[in-house]
Amino acid sequence: MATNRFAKRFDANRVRIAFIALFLLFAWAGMAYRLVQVQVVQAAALADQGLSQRLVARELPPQRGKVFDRNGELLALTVEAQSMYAVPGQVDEPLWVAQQIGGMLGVDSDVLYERLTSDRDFVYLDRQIDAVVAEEILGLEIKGIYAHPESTRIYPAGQVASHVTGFVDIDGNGQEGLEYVYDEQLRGTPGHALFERDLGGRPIPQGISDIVPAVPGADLNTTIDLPLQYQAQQACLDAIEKTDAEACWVVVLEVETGGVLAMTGAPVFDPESRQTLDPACEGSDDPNVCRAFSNFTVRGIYEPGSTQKLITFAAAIEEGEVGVGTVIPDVADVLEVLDGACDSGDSDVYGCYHDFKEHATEDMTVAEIFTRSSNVGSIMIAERVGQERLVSYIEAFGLGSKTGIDYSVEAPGILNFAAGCQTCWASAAIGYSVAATPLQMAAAYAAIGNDGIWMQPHIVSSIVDVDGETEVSGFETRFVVSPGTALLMRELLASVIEKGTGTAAQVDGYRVGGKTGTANKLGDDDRYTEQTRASFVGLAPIDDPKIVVAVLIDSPSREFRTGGASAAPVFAAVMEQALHRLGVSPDVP
Amino acid sequence: MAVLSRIREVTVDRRENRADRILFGTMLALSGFGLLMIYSATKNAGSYGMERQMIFVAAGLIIYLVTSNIDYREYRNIIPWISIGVLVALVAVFLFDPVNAAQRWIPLGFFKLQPAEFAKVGVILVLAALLSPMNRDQMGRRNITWVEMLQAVAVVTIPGYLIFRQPDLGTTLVFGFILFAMLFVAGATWRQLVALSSVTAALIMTALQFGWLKDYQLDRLRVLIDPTIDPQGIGYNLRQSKLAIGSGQFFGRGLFQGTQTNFEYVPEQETDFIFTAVGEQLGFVGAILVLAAFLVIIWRLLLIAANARDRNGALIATGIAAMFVFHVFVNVGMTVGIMPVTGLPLPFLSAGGSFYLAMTLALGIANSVWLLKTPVPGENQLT
Repeated sequence: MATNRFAKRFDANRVRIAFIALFLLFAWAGMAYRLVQVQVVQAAALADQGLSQRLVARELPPQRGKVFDRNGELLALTVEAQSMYAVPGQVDEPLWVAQQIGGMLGVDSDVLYERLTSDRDFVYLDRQIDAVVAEEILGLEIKGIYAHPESTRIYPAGQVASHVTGFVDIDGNGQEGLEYVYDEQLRGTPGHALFERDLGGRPIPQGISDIVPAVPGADLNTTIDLPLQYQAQQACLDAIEKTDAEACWVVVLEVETGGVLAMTGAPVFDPESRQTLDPACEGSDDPNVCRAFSNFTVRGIYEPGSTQKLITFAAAIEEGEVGVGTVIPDVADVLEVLDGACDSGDSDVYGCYHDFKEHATEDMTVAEIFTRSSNVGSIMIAERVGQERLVSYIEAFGLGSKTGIDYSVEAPGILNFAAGCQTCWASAAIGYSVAATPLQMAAAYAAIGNDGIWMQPHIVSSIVDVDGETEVSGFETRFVVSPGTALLMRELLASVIEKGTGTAAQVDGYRVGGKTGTANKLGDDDRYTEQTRASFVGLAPIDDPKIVVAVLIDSPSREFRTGGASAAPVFAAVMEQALHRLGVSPDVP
Repeated sequence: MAVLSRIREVTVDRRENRADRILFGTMLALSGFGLLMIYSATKNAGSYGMERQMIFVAAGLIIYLVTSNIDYREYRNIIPWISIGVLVALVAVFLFDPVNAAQRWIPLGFFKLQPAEFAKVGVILVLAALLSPMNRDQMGRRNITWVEMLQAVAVVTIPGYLIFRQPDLGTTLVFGFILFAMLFVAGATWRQLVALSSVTAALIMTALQFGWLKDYQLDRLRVLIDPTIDPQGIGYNLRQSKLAIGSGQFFGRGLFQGTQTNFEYVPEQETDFIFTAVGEQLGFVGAILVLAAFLVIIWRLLLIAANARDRNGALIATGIAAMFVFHVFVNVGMTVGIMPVTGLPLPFLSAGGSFYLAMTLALGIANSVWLLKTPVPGENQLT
């Protein structure tokens, strides 16, 4: 072979090439050894590490349940939105970015700039914004600005039903109203997803995946009638404007069921933005100071004044102490319950009671006393009943304890019968020294409308979850007075409107019954002021009551200070709508 | 006619020898396998890596066939032109805007030429010419002079420095390794080699001392010593590539089942870290087979070197073999954590145009050395 000749010549080189071959084998053996280590010895551990790096467990948030009114109109629902966030370290020109997107988000650019320059790794720019706006901003392709889907709670009726639905916080936890009471049912059960994802977070198709879907929250069907709710709120807003009042509240109950048809008032608030314009709310969430976020009809208390007389008279009639036609002799316009009270001239000393208008001392029938709303006469009747029995009726009518309505935290009200209080019974007979919620008063009147049976008011009628619809039942009912007494009381209520203090509460086509109430407001110093809480509670049609409406107007101007002047017209407007909404036939030609 | 006869002159006479089919076959197999790996590593990223690489493979095969048929001894006549071409191209990269803070490429529209890859082949040709005797008197000489050695160092240092400044430390180190291997086979004395090693070591110490290396280059060395430092930062590449290769275990997770490499956890998974795609999808078995294929290529190159008709051919084949050894060892070593992370790609497997073309060019020249290993009777053996 020719190569042999050259082989001799290149002997030295060949040896050295062999050296290189040897080096080569060593290098390759080293790599093979290392591969054995990595792919055989440590393989299982490395595979595990890799898997745990790719595996991600995510909670699948359940869709929060919807809330409907009695006609199937949506009061609350949850929709997908986008939340914009930034990784401040990645944002190159925070000032420019803040100016660029501040207007689109509706967030002040100075605030945005501060967030964009914070030293955190993650800042929200704005949460739960419209998907279209989010897309627009993402379309700018600004480095470090991202969005992730986050559901948001929508209230189609807005402020109209906000006193019923309440609201959720930014994270979807119920804070008030139905959202709070039914938070657990509405919330649903979160699901879980375990899956392998790539570096960008996208699921790997052939990877492990284990998904337990979320169980959506239950839907709530309510007894609320949204159009009526709207009319009632509108009536309140109009009344506030007309009477220059601080607030106005309305409760409408269905007499036979205790279902709430409407529960609203003003000031209003927007349940989505959780914003109110009520200046009283700055720095206070006390429902007696800040009315905007909570529903005063359930959470606020007031001294009911003359509307309370319904209970006093019902007690007296039920106990057989008086009849409607019983004559009470010598009813003056002033009554001294505690000796010397009327002479002291000190308004701090209780025990001197006046009628609203001065009048000569005269004999009056029980019916006249009720229709004219005589305080003196009422106390004289209450005297026959006695404190002990009076209190038991007040309690039976539901004052002083929670009604059990399904709305957040309810105020029980106050019954002030301290031991040794010599005037409390007299005050209570005419609606002082007790404090009730408008809802309690509405429920008490409903008991008269319902032939003497008190019914627990409620908002939710049925709950629809994945297993189907469940009617809400088991509401408390209570015998309060006999049907005969209830009937007599309804006649008295009708006469108030026909010839008494409540003529402004008349509704065309229907015979209505109701009672006015005008109670002086307690001032900050616990003395009564000239300001009043004017109220009206009534039933219709009075011969077969279907609906009870309670109206409370807080601090109307002097001209409208009585229940007859300010609350009765609101009652009439709301009652008329309610009768029409429920399709109740007119009973007066 | 002059042109035709010139072509006939430089064309390899194939009467005596057959092409190295093992070399060619292995190269072809690795290239095809590389396309599959590139496809698997990029298909989820929606990259067009494989289609693009197919064009380079086709072009590379043409280059291989053409250079196989060019008499490798002809390169010796154009050494100055090769030198100038290499230097001009290496300087030219600095005229273009940096990509990822590096100036390594000359954009040509359809393709970014990376001159450093071709410079390796050029330098091998220049070194081989420099270290081979030109006349009959020196034919049997088995040593090289100190002057020759210094010339050889200069031949490597100038392009090596330019590449270092791109910066591309990995490729600079390839030049060093090639130089050592070629000097060694050319017959440098042990004293010469020790001297060169000492100077090199001193140079490295100085470089470390004076901060000539960039921070990220030092970080890569630190990570090699302690892989647990900063697993999300400087240790990220190494950790991810080890996780991927380890996840493959013995038989691999199956083609297209490589969730680490196919889903972008491993960075540069279709270029520098293509070996992780092999390791994860085809396991230890696949990884060893790939290493075996490279062993075959390098074994053939060393065989070509040993059987070359002249020292020039032997040194060319040696240089090419050294280049392959270094690339494969450093690249694979990097993915399994025994070599620092340098941007050295894996021949025939890594996606990338210039590198693939340079590798086929090198093997084509080696094949030419093989084809000409037997002198044709009557031929002047020393030209």
